[in-house]
Amino acid sequence: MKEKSPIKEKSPIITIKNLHFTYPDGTAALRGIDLTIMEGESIALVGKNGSGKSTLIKHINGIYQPEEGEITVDGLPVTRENLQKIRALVGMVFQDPDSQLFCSTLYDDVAFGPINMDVEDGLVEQRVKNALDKMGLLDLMNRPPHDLSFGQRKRAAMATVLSMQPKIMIFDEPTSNLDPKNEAVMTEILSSLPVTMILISHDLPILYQTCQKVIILNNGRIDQILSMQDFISDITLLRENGLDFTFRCDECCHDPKHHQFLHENL
Amino acid sequence: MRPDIDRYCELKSPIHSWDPRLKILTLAILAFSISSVSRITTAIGCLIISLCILSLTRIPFSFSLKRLAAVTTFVGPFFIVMPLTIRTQPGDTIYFFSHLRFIEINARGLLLAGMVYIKAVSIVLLVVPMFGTNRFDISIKALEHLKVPNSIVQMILFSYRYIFVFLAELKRMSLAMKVRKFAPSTNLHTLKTYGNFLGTLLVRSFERAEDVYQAMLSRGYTGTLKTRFEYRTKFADMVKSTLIFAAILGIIYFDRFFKGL
Amino acid sequence: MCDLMNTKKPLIQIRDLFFSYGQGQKNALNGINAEIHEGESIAIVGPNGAGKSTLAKHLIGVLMARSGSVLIDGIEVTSRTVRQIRDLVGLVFQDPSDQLFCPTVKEEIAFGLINMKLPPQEIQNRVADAARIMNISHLLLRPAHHLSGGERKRVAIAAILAMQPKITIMDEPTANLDPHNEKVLVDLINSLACTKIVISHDLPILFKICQRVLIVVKGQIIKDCSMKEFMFDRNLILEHGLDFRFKCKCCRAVHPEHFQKTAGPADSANPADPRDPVISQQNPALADKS
Repeated sequence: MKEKSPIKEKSPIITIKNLHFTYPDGTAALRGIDLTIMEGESIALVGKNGSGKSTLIKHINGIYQPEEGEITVDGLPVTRENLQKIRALVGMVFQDPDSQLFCSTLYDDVAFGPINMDVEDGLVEQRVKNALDKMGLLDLMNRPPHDLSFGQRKRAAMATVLSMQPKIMIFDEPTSNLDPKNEAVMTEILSSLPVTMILISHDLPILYQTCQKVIILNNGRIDQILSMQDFISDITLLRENGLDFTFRCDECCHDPKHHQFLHENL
Repeated sequence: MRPDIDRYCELKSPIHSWDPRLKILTLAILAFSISSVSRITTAIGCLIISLCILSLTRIPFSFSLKRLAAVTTFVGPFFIVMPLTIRTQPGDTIYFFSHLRFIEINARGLLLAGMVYIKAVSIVLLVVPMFGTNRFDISIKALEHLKVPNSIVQMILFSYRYIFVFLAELKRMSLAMKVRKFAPSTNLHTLKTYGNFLGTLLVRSFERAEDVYQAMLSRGYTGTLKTRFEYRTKFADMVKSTLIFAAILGIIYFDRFFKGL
Repeated sequence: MCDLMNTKKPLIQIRDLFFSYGQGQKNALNGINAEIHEGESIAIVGPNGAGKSTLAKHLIGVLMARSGSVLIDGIEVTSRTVRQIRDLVGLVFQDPSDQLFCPTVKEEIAFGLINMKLPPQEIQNRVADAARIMNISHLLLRPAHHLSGGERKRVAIAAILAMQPKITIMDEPTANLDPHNEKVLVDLINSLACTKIVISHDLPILFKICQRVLIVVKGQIIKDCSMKEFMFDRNLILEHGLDFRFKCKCCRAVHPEHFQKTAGPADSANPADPRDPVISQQNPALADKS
C-alpha cells in the first residue's frame, strides 16, 4: 500500500460511454454501460453469472470491439489502430493460469509480453526478473511452467502481465482454487500493486481486502456503484449477488467455544 | 499444454549449435531426398545417416521412439496390404497357402513395404534434430526467416500448440467416462456416446484454444512471433550443411546411377 | 462411538499403499494405511501435490497400487475387479465440464446407468430421483453446456448419485462456486446417505460436511482425527497452510450482530473491525487502508 498512497484519485483513466454488445447468437450481453474509473482506484466488479462481467472487461483491453458506444483508456480510444498501446496499458489476468502459460520456460512466458511490446533488450530481462521477484518465483525462472504447483502457476500468470508494466490490471477470479495459504499470499500481492485495478471474484473477503469501490452489474447494465463499506453492510445486496458467505462461519464461529478459540489462538 | 518437442533443447551438441535456419533448410532437403529414394539398399543407408545425425544431438533415443510408434501404426498395414495387392511381375517370388491358392503373397511387395517403412522411419527420425534442438519459437521464427509464408507459419505454430490442448482434454474426458463404467461395444449407445464425446471434445478444445489466443492477444501478440534470438550463420554452420549436402548427393548418386549391389 | 464403528467391517481398507508416477520419480503415495467405515464422511486435506487426488484415484481403480492394497467392501482393487469397484465407488470431478458431455442433462444422468445395463424403467426412475435430490428436475431437458457453474456442479453430482454408489468421492466440490451456490451444495451433500470422501482445503466447508479428517502430507497420512479436534488444533492448521481465519474476520465485519450474540466478552470490544492486530501484522498493506 505504501507505493499506492501517493497516487491520488485524480484523472479518469477509463471512461466507457453507452457500451452495447450482443453475442453472435443474439443474446445481449451489455446494454448501455456508462462508467468512469479514476486513476489508482481498486474496483470490485460483482454480479450474478451471465450479468456481463467478463464481456465488459474484455472490452477494456480491446479483445472485443464495441458494437455501439465508446471506450477510452488513458485518453486513447479503444480502436483497432490503438490496440497495441491499449494492451500495453491494460494487463489482463485470466482465471485459468494454464491458458496463459504457453512457453517452454517461465522466463520466456514472462518475457512474451515485453518482447511483443518492443521493449529494449536489456530492459526485458530486468522487467522479467522484477516481475518474478515480486511474485516470489525468481528461483523457478528456468523451469517449465507446467511443472509448477497450481498456486505458483497462478502467480506466474500474474507475473506475465506484471512484466508489461500496465497502468491498469484486470483480474478474473485471482484466488479461485487456491488453498488458504496461497490465497493470503495472493491477497497481499494484490493489495500492494500500485496500479488501477478491476477485480472479478466470488470471494468477498478478498474483494474486501483489496477494493474500495463496488460496481454491481445486473443483466448487462450497471445496477449500483457504491463503496465497499456500504456494500458489505447491506446483507440483502450481498445475498442478491450470491456473495453472502457468512453461512460458512455458522458452525465454526457460532459455536462460542470454537469462536473464542479462533479469536484467541489464530 | 506445453509444446513437448523442444524438451531437450537445452542440451549442447553440434546439432544444437547449428544455425536453426540452415539446419531446418538442410535437413528438410535431406528428408525430401530420402523420400525420393527407390532402392532398399539406399534406404538403409539413409536410415544410418539419420541415426548418426540423431545420435549427434545426444537426445535420448527413447524420446524419438514415441514418434516411431506413430509411424509404425501408419505404415504397419502396408506390410499386409502390399504383398497381397502388388501387381505380379516376371521374376517375383510368390508364396501360396496350400489350400487357399487364390491368396498370393508377393515377396517383392514385402520388400517394398519394408523400404517404405525404412524411409518413413529415416524421415521421422530427422524431426527431432530439426525441431527438437532449438526452442520451438526459435524454430518457428527460423521458418519465417526462410520465407515460408506467414499463414503457413502460423498454422504450424497453432496446430502444434492445440494438439496438446486437444490431448489434455481428451485424457480428462475419457477418464470421466471410464469412471462412469463406460465400456465400448457394438451398439447404438456406444456410437452415440462417441458422437457426443467427439462433439464436446471439439467444442471444449475450441473454447480452450480461444482462451489461449485471447491471453496471447492481451499480451500484445499481433500475428508475428517475436523472439530475441540472434540468427547468425557461422563458418561451422556452413561446414555442417556442406557435409549433409555431400551426403545427399551421395544418396542420389547411389540410388540412381550406381550399378553394383 | 469410535469403538462401536470399529466392530463393523470397514468399507474401505487401505494397507501400505505406495505409488509413484514413473521410475525414478519420488513416491506420490508413501505408505498409506486407513480404514473407512460405512456411513462416514471423511475429509482429505493437505497442501497441493500432497497426494490427495492420487489417493482418490486408487479408490476407484483409475490407478492401481504398485505395492500394498486397497479393498473396497472386501474386494481388492485390481484390473479384474475394476468394473465391480466402479459400481461401489463414484467420483465427482473438480471441474464439472470434464465430466459433462451429453446433449441434455437427462442423458447425462442416464449415461452411467445405461453403462450399468439397467432396464429402461429403472433408469427413468433413477434419473428422476437423482434430479429431484439435486434440485435440477426443471433442467432435465436443457443442455448441460449452457447451465451456470452451480447448476453444472449439481448435474455432475446427480450423474454419479444416480449410479447409487456406496461411496462417493468429491474433489473440491465447492471450487469456483459463489457462496450462495456453496451453501446450496453443502446442504445437498449433507442430505446424501452414502459414505462420503471429500477432498478440499476449505476447512469451514469441510467442517459442515465431515466428521473425520485425514491429513495427507508428502504421500502419508500424518493425522487421522475428528474434524472437531482438527479445527481446535491451531498448530496443525497453521503448519499445513490451511489458515482460514482472515475469512472469519471478514465475516465478523459483515455480520457484527451475528457474533455479538454468540461470542465471548473478548469480542464485544470491537466486533466490527476485522483489521485487528493479527491481520495488520501479517499484512501491513491493510493497516493503512481506510
